[in-house]
Amino acid sequence: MTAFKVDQFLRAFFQANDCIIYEHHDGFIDVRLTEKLDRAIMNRPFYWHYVKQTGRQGEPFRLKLITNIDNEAKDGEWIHVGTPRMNEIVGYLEENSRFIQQFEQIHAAKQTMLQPWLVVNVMITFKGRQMRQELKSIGVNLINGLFLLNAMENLEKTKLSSFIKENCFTISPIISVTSGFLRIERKLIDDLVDMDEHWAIESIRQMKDELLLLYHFYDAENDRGKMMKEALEIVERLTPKIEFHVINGGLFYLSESWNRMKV
Amino acid sequence: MSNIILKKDERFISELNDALKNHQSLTNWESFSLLYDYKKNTAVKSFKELESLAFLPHVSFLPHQVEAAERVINEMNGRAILADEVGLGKTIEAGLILKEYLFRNLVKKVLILVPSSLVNQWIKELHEKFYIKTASYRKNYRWQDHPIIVTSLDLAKRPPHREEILNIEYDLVIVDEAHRLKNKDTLNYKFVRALKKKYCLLLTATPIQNNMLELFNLVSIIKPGFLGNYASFKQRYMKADRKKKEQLHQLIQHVMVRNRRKDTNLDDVKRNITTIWLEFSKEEKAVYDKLATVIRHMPAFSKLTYLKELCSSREACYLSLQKNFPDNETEIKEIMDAIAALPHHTKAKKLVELLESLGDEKVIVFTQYRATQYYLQWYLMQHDISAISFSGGMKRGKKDWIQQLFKDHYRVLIATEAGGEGINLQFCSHMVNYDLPWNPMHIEQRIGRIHRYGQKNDVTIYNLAIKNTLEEHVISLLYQKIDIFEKVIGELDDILERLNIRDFEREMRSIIEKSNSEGEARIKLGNLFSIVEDLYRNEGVNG
Repeated sequence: MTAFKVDQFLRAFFQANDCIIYEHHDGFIDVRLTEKLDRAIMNRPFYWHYVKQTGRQGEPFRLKLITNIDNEAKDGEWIHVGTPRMNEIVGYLEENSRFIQQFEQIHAAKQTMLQPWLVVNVMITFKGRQMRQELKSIGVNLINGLFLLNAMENLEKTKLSSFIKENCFTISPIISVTSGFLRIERKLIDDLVDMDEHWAIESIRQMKDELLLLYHFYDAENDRGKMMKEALEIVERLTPKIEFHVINGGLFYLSESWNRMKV
Repeated sequence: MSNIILKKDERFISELNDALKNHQSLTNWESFSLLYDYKKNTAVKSFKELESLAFLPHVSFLPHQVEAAERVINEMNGRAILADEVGLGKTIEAGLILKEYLFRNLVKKVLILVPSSLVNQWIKELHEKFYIKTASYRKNYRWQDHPIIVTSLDLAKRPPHREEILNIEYDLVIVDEAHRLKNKDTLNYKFVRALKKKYCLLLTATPIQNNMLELFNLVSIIKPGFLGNYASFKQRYMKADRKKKEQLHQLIQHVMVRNRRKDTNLDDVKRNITTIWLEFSKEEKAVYDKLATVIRHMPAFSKLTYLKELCSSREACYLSLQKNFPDNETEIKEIMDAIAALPHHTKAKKLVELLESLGDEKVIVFTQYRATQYYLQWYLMQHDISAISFSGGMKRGKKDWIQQLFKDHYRVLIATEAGGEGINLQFCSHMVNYDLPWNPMHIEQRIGRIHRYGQKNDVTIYNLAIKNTLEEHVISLLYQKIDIFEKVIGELDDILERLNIRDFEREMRSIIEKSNSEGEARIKLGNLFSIVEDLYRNEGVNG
C-alpha cells in the first residue's frame, strides 16, 4: 500500500469544510476554521458559550498543523494518524459525512432522465483470532435492480452536485431505498459463500484449545464461577464473526448510461 | 459458515431514510469521498497486518517485531509480557502496539514507566520512530494534563504523585524493565498492580519462565487469576513434574512474547571475538606478586578485588588501597609506593596500539573502575585520541548529550558498567573489554549496547587480558569454556537456573573463598563449568 498522505487528507478536509487555508506547503498547514468545525474539533465550549452570551460573533480558531517531523521548529501542533486532533477530525467526518444525495451533471440539450441508485460503502470486518477488513462500495439501481460494483471508484470520475442540472429530471424509485439496501446486504452475504474459511476454522480450533487448558487449570479447584466467566470471555473473543458496518451511503441520480457500465 | 456469527448494520438504513426525507444532515461529495478514501486507506487489509505500519514508512521493522505487536493486539487483547532477549527491540514492539491502539482510537490516556535513565530515550524513540508526542513529568504539572506521559517508576510510586496517578483511568500502562515487579511484597509491585489500566505491557529482558513465583507475580498484573491464586499455584507448580510444567509453559504463551536472537535474522550480524593476551612487564609482575603476598591474609573477596584492580590500572588499585587503609600500615604503604612508581600500564599501551590500528572506527571501551576510566581518558588524550567518559551517576540529560557527542565528535567512549545501561550505540561496531566482569550477564549487557537492533555491521569485540594473573583464570574458565560470547543471554540464564545457581558471581566467589589454594579453586571451577558445558551439549537449551 502506498503511504497515506496526511497533509493531503487534511487540506482536502479543510477545503471540503469551507475553511480558509492561509498556507500549505511541505508538511505545514495554516488554516482558519469555521465556527461549526471549531465547535466540533477544538473542544472549547466555554469560549463559544461566553461569546454568544455577550452577543458577539466570535472568531473561529486559527489552526496551525505540522505533518512533517522536519518542521518541528515551527510554531504549530503536531498531527499524525492517532493523535487526538486527528481522531477528532476523523470522528467529525464519520459523524457528518454519512448521508448524501447527488445528481450527475450532464450537459443535455433535451430533457434527460436520471435514475435513482442507492450506493453504500460497507466495511466488512472478519473477526476471529485476528482481524481483517474489506471495504465494499456497491450500488443498486432502484428502478431495475442492477448492481454497480466499485461504485465509488466509478463515481469519482463523474461530475456530481447536490443540485440537479437544468433539463434533467428524476424518476421515483420502483424499489424502495430500504429494499434496495436489503438487496445489497443479500448480495454481500451471497458473495461471502466463496470466501476462504480458514481463518474461522483456525479461530474455533484455538478456542477449543484455550477452553481445554482452562478446564485443566481449574480442575482441582472449586472456583466454577470464575472459570465460567473466563470461559465465556474466551468464547466471546474467539467465536468467528463477520460484521457489516456502513461507513456512508445515499442516493445518486445517474444517467441511463450507468446501466451499461461494465464492472 | 454455521459457526460464524453475522452481524449486520441495523442502524444505517432507517437513519438514511430520515435524512433523505427531511433533507437534513446530507453531506457534500468531497466529504463523502474523503471519508471513503480514509477508510479505504486505513482498513486492516489482511489478518496479518497492522494498520499503522502504512503510516510509518520511514522505519523498517523486523518481522519478529511486527509479529509480536500483532500477537499482543490480536491474540492477547493488549495485556502481555514482552520478554525478548536484550537488543531485539522490545521498545519498538511496545511503540508499535501503542501506535496501533492510538490509531484505532482505542487508547487515549497512557502511562509509561521506565528507569529514569531511559526516560529521554523513550520520548525520543516514540517521537522519531512512531510520531508519538509524549511528555516527561515535570514539577508543577498535573498527571492528568498530558495524555501520554513517560516517567520513572520511582517517581510515580511516591506521594503525592502516587495518589493522583492511582485516580486516573489509564487506557494503557507500559512498564519497562519489569523484572523490578517480580516481588509481590514490594512497593513497585503493589503500585503497578493498583493502577487502573485497560491494556498493559510489561517489558523485561530477564527470562522469568524458570522462576515460577516471579512469573506468577508478573502474570498476575497482566491477568489476575490467569494462573489461579497464589496458594494453589504454589502447591501445583512449585514441585511440578515435567508434564505439568509443559502445561504451564503452554499457558504462559498466551500472555508472553519471547523472541530469541537465534530465531531472528539479527543473527546475521556476527560477533567476532578476539582475546588479546598480554604479559605484565617485569616491574608490573614484581608488584603484582608482591601485592599478592602482602594481602594474602585478607578475606578472599578483598584479595581478589585488589588483584583484579591492578590488572586494570595502577590508579584503581592505589585508590582502593588508600581508601581502605587510611592509617598507612608500613607494608601497605610500601606496596602503594611501588604501585605509584610503576610506568604506564601494559594494557593502556596495548589499547593505544589497538586503537591506532583501527583507523577511524569508533570504539567503545568498557572498564569496571572509575579510576581506570579517568586514567584512560587522560592517557588517550596524550596520544591524540579523542575520548569521552560515560558513567552511571550521570543525569539522563547528560547521558543523551554524551551519546550524541560520541556519535558526532569523539572516537572513543569510555564507559563503566553502570554507565552502559540503557544507551544504544548501534552506530559503533567495535568494543574493547578493558577488563572483564565475572558475571557473564554483565558481559552480555555490554555487548548488547552495540550488538542490537539497528546494527548494520558485524560486531568486533576485543578482550584485553594479562597472562599469569587472576584474569587468565577468569577468561579461560568463564569465557572460553562456556563460550559466553557465542551464546545468547537467554540460554545461559536457562542453564544457570537449572543448576540452581542464582548469582553466578557469588557462586564463583564462594568457591574461591572456600578453596585453600589457587589449584583447588581452579579444579572446582573447572567442575562447575563442565556441568554447564554438558548442559549445553546434551540437553539443548530450549527450556
